[in-house]
Amino acid sequence: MTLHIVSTSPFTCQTLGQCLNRMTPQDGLLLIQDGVYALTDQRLYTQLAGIAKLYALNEDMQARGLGDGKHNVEIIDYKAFVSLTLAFERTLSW
Amino acid sequence: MNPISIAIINRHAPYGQAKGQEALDLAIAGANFGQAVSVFFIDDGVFQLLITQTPQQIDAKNYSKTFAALTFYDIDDIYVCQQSLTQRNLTPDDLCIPVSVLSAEQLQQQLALHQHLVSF
Repeated sequence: MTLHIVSTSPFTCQTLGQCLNRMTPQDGLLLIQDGVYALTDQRLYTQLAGIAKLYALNEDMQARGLGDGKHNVEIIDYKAFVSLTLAFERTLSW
Repeated sequence: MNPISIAIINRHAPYGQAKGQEALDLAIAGANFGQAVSVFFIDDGVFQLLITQTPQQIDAKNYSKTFAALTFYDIDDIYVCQQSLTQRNLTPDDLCIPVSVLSAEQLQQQLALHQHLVSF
């Protein structure tokens, strides 16, 4: 049970796709920094919707104008970020 | 004290930045401190293992020569992603050291056996 942390936009960088390829159904995905732009990517919509444990960092979403509540994701703050890293057995920052 | 198992994951091609060299330094440092280190090569990271590299031509050090020495640091678990090799038209014969080639599923299982994952 790994928490994958992605911080780059899928529009400029293949990292998120590479991460998604290697996730197991038990794993979680946390989008931070430019990684939150993935929530707007229509190509990834179905794949992201299929992830049971999908999180995005509130501060990074608000900062980028994505905090309008129309994205299907669990929005967390920094405190919850810390708790998440403890709830999962290991983290992998891509 | 039980050793900590650390998986060091190489995801980038060797030159243009120092990620590969830094991953190698961390692997050796970890092993020197008695930790159980495994090294993974996935995506463009597999290019680091090409046996035909001659980076002297671009004024870079050929640190891939060091991979052969990992076994002297008790780093014997070197894993490569089959899918990444295939996508790049490579086979294990193109690589500078013997490695364990893993399918996508085996890769997930193997990574999950480690306590810490560090990606470069």
